[in-house]
Amino acid sequence: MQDVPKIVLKRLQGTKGAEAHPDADLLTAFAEQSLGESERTGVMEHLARCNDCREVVALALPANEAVAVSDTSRSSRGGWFRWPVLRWSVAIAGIIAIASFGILQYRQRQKGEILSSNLSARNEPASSAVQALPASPAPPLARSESRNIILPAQNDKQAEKKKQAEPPGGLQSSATADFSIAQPARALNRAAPAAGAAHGATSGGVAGGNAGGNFLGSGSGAGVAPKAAPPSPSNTPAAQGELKNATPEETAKLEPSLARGQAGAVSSAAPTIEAAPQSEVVTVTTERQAADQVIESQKEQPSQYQSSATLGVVEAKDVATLSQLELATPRWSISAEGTLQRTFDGGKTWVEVNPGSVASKVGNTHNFAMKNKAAVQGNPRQVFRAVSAAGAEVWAGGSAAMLYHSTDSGLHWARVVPSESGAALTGDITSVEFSDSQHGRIATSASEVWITADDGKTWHRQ
Amino acid sequence: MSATKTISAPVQSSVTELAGELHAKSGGEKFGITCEGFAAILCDVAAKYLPETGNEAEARAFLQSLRVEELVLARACANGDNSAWEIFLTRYREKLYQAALRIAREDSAARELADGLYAELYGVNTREGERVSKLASFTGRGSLEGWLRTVLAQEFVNRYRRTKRLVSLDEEIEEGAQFAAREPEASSSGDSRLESCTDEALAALSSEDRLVLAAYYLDGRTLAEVARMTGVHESTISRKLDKLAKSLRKKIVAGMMRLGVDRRAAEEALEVDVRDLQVNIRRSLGQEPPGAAFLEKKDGLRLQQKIAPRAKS
Repeated sequence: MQDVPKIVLKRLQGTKGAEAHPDADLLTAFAEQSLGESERTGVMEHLARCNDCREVVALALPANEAVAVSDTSRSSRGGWFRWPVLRWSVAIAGIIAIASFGILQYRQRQKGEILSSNLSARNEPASSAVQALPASPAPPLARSESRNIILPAQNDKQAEKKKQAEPPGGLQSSATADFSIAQPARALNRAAPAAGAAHGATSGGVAGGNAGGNFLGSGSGAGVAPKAAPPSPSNTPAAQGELKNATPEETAKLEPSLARGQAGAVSSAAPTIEAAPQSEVVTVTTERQAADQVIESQKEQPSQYQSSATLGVVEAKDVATLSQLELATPRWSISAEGTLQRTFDGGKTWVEVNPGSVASKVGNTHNFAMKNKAAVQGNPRQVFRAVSAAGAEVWAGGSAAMLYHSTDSGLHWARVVPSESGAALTGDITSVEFSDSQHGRIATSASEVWITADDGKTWHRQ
Repeated sequence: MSATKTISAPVQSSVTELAGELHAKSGGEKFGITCEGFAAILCDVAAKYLPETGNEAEARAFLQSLRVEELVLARACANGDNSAWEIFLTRYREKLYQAALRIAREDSAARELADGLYAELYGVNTREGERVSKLASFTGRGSLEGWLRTVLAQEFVNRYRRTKRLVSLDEEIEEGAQFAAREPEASSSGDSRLESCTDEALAALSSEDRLVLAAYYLDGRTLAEVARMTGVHESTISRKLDKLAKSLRKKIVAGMMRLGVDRRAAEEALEVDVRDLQVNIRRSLGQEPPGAAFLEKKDGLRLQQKIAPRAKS
């Protein structure tokens, strides 16, 4: 508070008027703010000069308690709208807004990085097929598979790491090998575009299916699989047709390669690959060597090594020993609740598989993509009673004549309705037995027995 | 009780028009005050405050602003109505003692103050053989409770002023009067130009500004007290005081410069004034801190010291 000059105080003191003091009524009315303007001015003029009347007014003011109470009530009424509260509220709101903006920016940046890595992964499909093979031991396949399903974003980083670790030359050659194995002329043409993942999924043929699985795995690892690589209804039958039109000899050759292809697909999203427990010692060479060898061997025996090409980066000492490799083959089980389950690590971890809830029905053959676990869990549960697996061929049956068939270890499923001359299978399937990929036997609760000798294409009722 | 001052015709007509309504509102019937008697009271009040040239609208506004219920109660008490006194004592006795205690700051002094007022309210004094109650002077401009506090404060100030003149030599010695500096001489020793410029600057201020200045700087009231006196918020008073101090200084310097004094000399005249020195010496000798609350408290204590021995005796 600034001090006024002392001369001012002196002159103020000396301006005492000689007029009569206002009476008690006027002073009371002045203190209670109930005077008219002219009267108030007159009283104030007197008070400015009369020390005694100022003292009377000051002494006659109501008790502080009453004023305090009224102040308190006023402050409680407008407690949230007082300036100090508003000031701090504005400051806090500003901090919150800045923090929120920062978080949003951080998330958007992360999302952008993921998208860019996905785009680069799609531009270089071999980055998912060709594995950078560090010397460190790899995580189990089943774990990487489950990561493919559950945590795609996590695998994005892995794919990104792989991509960074890979030399570009190896990537290119591996990609070429991957597609050319399936249908050399067509796949090569389709491998050229940048969106190799989508083409891989739709390129048809056995390797097309595998490539689809492969790219599904790698695509889901890249976080764009559900949209980037949907199984095409028009191409997939062709793929399966090719698979099913293969001769028994070819199929016999394909089976382990399918399994390996699946393993390769699964492991493609992982930073490293792990050999199955049954597999022999696998040595790891550089990607370029592996790709070159695969291309060379593919020229000699294209059908034999098409899945090893999908396997990509796993290279045995001798190419001839590739067929003897047994990578991780999933094991299947039915839980007590009738849920179909799959494991890649010898039963340590089980992944729930729900074939019927993934894809819609198209014609007699249905493809089901295991896009993610949430999709599986979000659909109504089916009750399975029996499952039979021979390599990558899986047959699962359950209640209400429910029968599913997968040729790629459960990545894609087809609903099969055994029928013979208009009569279809009825009742609950209680037993599914397949001695190999072609010959199988199904028993139902209606005491029916259905037999197939051509991988489920035709059925005979006994 | 009749009006001692004539009222204008518009005021009279307003009283006649509003008397019935206000009488019903006041509840004067239960104290035996008729509508005619109430109209006479209104005429009395209007004659006291309304100018003779007042128009009817002003008269109506004035009459409707009166606290007629309390006015009737006070007049009934003044007339000696027992039921009115019962109501009055029920409503105001405790409040009267509390107000007296707050003003006097000491219980016995407060009781003496309140009892003295009671006597006046009841009308121990007689005029021409008739008991005269102080309540008869209540006009209902403000609340009866506020009026009672004001009357108490007036009585307190009057007593203080009276007792101040009757300070004994011993008390003066106790207060250190023998060491006090002489009262400064009148403004003859000052610069007349400075005084005239100051008076001019003060006269240019509004009455409210001068009241605020006087209450804060002369009386040593706190910002809160000044705010309550003027009905303005405390922060407004603080800003107003700052602004006034700056503008006064500026105006005085400008006035001095108009009178031929250069700026530096004018500012020095404001800052270094012999009377300032005297004021400071007086304060130092009296050991009065500049705090307003303490000044007020000291005044109260001084009065208590003067009133208490009398009350005991």
